Amino acid sequence: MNYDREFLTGSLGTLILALVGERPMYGYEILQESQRRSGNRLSMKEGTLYPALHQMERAGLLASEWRQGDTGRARKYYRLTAKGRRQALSKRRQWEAMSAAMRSILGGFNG
Amino acid sequence: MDDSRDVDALIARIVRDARIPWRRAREDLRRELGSHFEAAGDTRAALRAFGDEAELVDELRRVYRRDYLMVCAAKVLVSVVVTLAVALALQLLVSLRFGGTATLLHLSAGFRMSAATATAMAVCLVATWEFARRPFEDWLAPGAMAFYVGLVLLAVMVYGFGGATVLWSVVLLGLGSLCHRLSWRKARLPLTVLVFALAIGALHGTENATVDFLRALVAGAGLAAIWRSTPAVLDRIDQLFAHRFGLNHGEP
Repeated sequence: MNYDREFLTGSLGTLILALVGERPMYGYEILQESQRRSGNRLSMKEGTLYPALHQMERAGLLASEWRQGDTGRARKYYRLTAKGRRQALSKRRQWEAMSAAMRSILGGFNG
Repeated sequence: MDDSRDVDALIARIVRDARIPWRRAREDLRRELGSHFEAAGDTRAALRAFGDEAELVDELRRVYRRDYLMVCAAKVLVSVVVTLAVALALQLLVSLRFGGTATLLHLSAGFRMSAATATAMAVCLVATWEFARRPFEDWLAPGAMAFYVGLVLLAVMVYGFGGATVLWSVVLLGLGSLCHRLSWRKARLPLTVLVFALAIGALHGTENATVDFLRALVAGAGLAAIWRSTPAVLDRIDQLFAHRFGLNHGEP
């Protein structure tokens, strides 16, 4: 499905915080994981992930380190900081509340 | 093979155009993007899925905009300080006089005015340098003008000179620019010195004062030295900041 760019940009931060909150991940892994979990319904332009990661790292939500991945290659792994964990929790709550509200509103929508 | 060259070129362009002033962050991004395509495996498919290059560059510029502007401002400040120091040192040199009643060396009576002119001229050259940078960028123009006006106001407070000195420095820059257009390159500098000397003579004439031609020639040489050295200093500072901070706002 094609999503509006603005809609996806607004959700990207929440998505990154949720995934990286489970375990440290590198950029490509975040993309793969989000596609896998969404059953390939969520596909984004892959390049747009990196500015978002850099922005969140500069905002102190993420921290990064280079280390060897499973294949032995060096990868830049991102993990949540304490500030990032708080933000992740807050975003998740907001998302759930908004999602429930939208479902209630759109529930009877037949297109 | 071609695909991997395309990837290398794409990464190089993104890193160059993203306006990231920190070398480590640039290197980090280069490695990270390289690692992305390596992890993707199928380079051609990864290139297709990567998205619009210009959009990505814009996003990265937005992330690092504050740092970039800070480094730009620091560069202009360094430019002003260094060019002013050079201009004032040159002016000091041509204003030194031997002999006198109390000391062996003293400054000429008109030093204050000469220093003010040299200051206005150097500041005007720095502003022109930033203002006329190619490609012309809308956001730079008002910034450069505001900076120039601010510095002129500061100089007015320090030296106590008025609008006439600013105007005078602009006239000198215009004359210098005309001399610089002469096709006979070797004659440019001597002509500039002569024209500046004549202008100094004319300025004294308007104030009913006289100036010795040799002294006017020495003062003209001083101003010509400022005129020639300032762009050279600015170019050097540009190169230094381009190398150290990747500032490439002179490029598309």
